Amino acid sequence: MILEEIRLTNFRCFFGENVIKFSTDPDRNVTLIYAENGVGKTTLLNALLWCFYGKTTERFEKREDILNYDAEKEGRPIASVEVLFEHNDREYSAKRYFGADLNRTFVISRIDQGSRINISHPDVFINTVIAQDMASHFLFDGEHAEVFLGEGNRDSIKDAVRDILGCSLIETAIKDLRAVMGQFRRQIPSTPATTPNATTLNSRDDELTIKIEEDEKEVKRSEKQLQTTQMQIDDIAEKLRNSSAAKELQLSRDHQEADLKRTQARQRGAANEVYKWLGENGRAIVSKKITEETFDFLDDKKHRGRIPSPYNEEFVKDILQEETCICGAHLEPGSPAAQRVARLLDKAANQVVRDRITKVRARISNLKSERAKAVHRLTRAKSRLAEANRDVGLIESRLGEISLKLKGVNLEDIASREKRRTELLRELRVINRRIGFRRNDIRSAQTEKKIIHNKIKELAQQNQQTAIYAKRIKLCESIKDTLESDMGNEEERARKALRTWISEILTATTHKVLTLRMTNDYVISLVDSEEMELPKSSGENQLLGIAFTAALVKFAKVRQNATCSWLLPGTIAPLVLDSPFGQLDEAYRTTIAKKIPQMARQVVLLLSRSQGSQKVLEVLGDHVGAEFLLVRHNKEPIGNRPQESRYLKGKEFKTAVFDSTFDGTEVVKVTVQ
Amino acid sequence: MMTYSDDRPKRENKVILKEIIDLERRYFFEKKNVKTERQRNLRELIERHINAKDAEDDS
Repeated sequence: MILEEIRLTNFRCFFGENVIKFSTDPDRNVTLIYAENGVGKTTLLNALLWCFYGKTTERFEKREDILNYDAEKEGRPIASVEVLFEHNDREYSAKRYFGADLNRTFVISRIDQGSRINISHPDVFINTVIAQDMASHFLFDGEHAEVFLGEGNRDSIKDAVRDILGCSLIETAIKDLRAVMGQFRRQIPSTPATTPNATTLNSRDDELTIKIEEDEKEVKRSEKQLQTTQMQIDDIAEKLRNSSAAKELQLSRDHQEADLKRTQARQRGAANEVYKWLGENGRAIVSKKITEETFDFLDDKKHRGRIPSPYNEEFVKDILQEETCICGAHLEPGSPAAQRVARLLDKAANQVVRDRITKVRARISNLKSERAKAVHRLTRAKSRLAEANRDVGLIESRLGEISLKLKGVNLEDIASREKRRTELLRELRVINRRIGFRRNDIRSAQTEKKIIHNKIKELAQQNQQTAIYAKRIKLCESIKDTLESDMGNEEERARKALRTWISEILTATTHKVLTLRMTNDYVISLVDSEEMELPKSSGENQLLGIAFTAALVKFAKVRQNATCSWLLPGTIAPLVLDSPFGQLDEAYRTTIAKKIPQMARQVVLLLSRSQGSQKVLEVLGDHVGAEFLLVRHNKEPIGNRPQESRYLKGKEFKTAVFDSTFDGTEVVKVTVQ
Repeated sequence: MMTYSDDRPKRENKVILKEIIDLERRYFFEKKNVKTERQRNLRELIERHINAKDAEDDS
């Protein structure tokens, strides 16, 4: 899909009709939209989603208020968003209406030599152009970039990867197969042979299903709460950082917290070293007694020269062959003396036995020396652990002191903010514990469910009448397993590709050595050259958010011709970036800006004044194909407010208009003077 | 007691899998939010395949 134009009519803050013609030029593939905060950047991003799928992002405020207030007051009851786009070399128009008494709310038409031919199932069609599940991932909301990171967000990352991978069909099939298996299981008790056992098992299974569902809902709720609480803590930290009275203490806290993370990593490393030591040397320690006894036995005077045997097989054979005893007497073959010597062969040691004994001795010597060295290794690891524990305690007490000092500052609400921060940290711990308990409950319930399912299956197999259900369940299970395994393999390939592309973008845009970590469980983090995890909300993490979004766009593009019937194909999608530079410093902004045009076939960049700095615009320069400014209109007079304006392409543009006929936003095309 | 073995060859599963995915695809693009109907069709599909297998076994 290539976006050609968006036409907003009385949609939210956009009063009347406003048009943006996006750049479709592959060389100048960036469309810049300038807007100050609160003027309509996020609305524009949501207008695209609303037009195509009738939905908006979760964070979009007052989601049900679609019609512009002034338009409604003037008696214009209908709002609409129309998007013209190109797909597979054909031109289309998608238009969604909002208003009472409308027969149709969504229309897609193919534009053929000026005439429009309506597509019969527009919802189906738009999903084949860009599947709804994929769409929101191409719209990057820079103000909430931190959602990409941390353990709490691994499900969002997993969902994003699966959405772009087009797993919807497989995922629904797996869910349906589970439901159908449940239905087959419940049918079993109706036969007399299995009653009441199967009935009891099925009702317990139902109880567990309900419990797991409730626990999962609670975990999701708690994870959201966790994110909100963390964001509140980050907000407080930001406010303290910006307050002159608290700045120094907050910066010192930032420093201590970073130090704490490093020390905790050291603590984990030392603890792991102790566990590793136990794994490697436990054998040597436990075998102390046996090694000593074995050596005592082998070295005992009584046994010296007798183990493995006082004489060798080869020596006895030589005597028999030479027919001469070691005393010089002739040994006549078959004589009683020769037979006595031959009997020695039964107890004589050969080369193999001697080698074995040598090996035993070497192995036991090795255990002994390992044990001797092991003690030093353990002592070193334990001392490192003790040192790390001591440092963690020290840093925590320093952090406690900082917090106390901040609570004592009686200025600019600093004390109350700090108290609130302490409360929030306590809440964070409580929520984390709650999530841990619920997850444990889910695991136990799932294990019990598995046992129940096996029992039901066994019961069904015992009876001819019920065996058919066992067969059906088994077939469902086998298909479900195949689908899960195939999806796992596809996901692994996807993870590998994403890791590579994200790392490429990071290498091209960062000045530091940053390494991406993405576990198989989708916990994403950035580590520096010392393998230290970077703290949340930093510029680097926002950078990671952009890199992840760009990698998803690339992944979708690569998959556009995927022929696998189980996965939905990918698509060429426009990349829409809303405030992508929020937390980045100027140096990062320029390096990212340089990379942005290469991230997708078409890029729409929504920038505030601070984000669209001169340097950023210079770097984007030759890649910009179209520019627009969102202007705020106010019915109120200007009063004592300063007139706000921007200079773009050498021309002055007012960013706010007063004494206007409406309150809302107007789209103005930025053209060369 | 009936002995029961159903080591259905992978080839056979492939046929059912294709039918299941076709069913899911049909509902994904054309009829969203009709879970009950979709799952009923899936149940019938599984029943049909197992019945067909039994008929083959009996012959």
